[in-house]
Amino acid sequence: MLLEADVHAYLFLSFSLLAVGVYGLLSRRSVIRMLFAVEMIINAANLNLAIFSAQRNVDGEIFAFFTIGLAALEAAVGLAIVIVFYKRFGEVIPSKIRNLRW
Amino acid sequence: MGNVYFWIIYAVVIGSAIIALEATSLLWAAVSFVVLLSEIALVYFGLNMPVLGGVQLAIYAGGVTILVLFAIMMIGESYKKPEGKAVKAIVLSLLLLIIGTFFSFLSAIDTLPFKTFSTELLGTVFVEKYSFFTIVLGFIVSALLYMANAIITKKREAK
Repeated sequence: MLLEADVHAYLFLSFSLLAVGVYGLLSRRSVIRMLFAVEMIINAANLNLAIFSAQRNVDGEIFAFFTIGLAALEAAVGLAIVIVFYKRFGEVIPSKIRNLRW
Repeated sequence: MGNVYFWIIYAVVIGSAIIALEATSLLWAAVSFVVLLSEIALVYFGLNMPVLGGVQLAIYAGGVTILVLFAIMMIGESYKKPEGKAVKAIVLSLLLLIIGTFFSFLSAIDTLPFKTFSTELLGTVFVEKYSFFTIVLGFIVSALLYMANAIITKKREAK
């Protein structure tokens, strides 16, 4: 096996990715970078599912499949909302988006 | 803890994650995001999960990145420097990392050896235990997409 690490090392990787994602979500003003940060947090959760699944049974791996599918859907819907906002207001600044009424 | 390959992958994952957030050009940020997702797929391959790694490469490093690239091409660069919140965010994320790592060492997470599950077993469990859940989830996703379409259509009518 190429990668030889125990569960604590993998969890450290997962927590590091979560920390970078939280930093990006709190400090960035660009919507696309906020989307990157959300995807990083979801990937950290997926890593946790995969790690514990590798130790016990395949159920966690299957849940990781579901999470990947839902994350792709979330990215598609999020980017669609961003593009609709851009077409309507000419700019996308999250602090100025106060309502989603139509 | 881990061998040298693991720590190389760790450095690439965290480095590309930071570059994806900090690069001034959104295009380079997207490239760095692709590197991050591909390295996570490599971690899955290292955990003897080739199907999950393949799905990660196809859906994340392929599909989501293409969507992001299209969005970047449509709305362009709208990068703004953070205004004073960066220090608080760094402190909070470091606190999260330290507390999480500390509790993961402190808790009763055992160091069981990693097993190898065959793709056949994965498919069997998926069909026997989660097929109904997949159908329900499919209906929920369809309903969400229909609602999103309804919202956009109403916006057009209001115009």
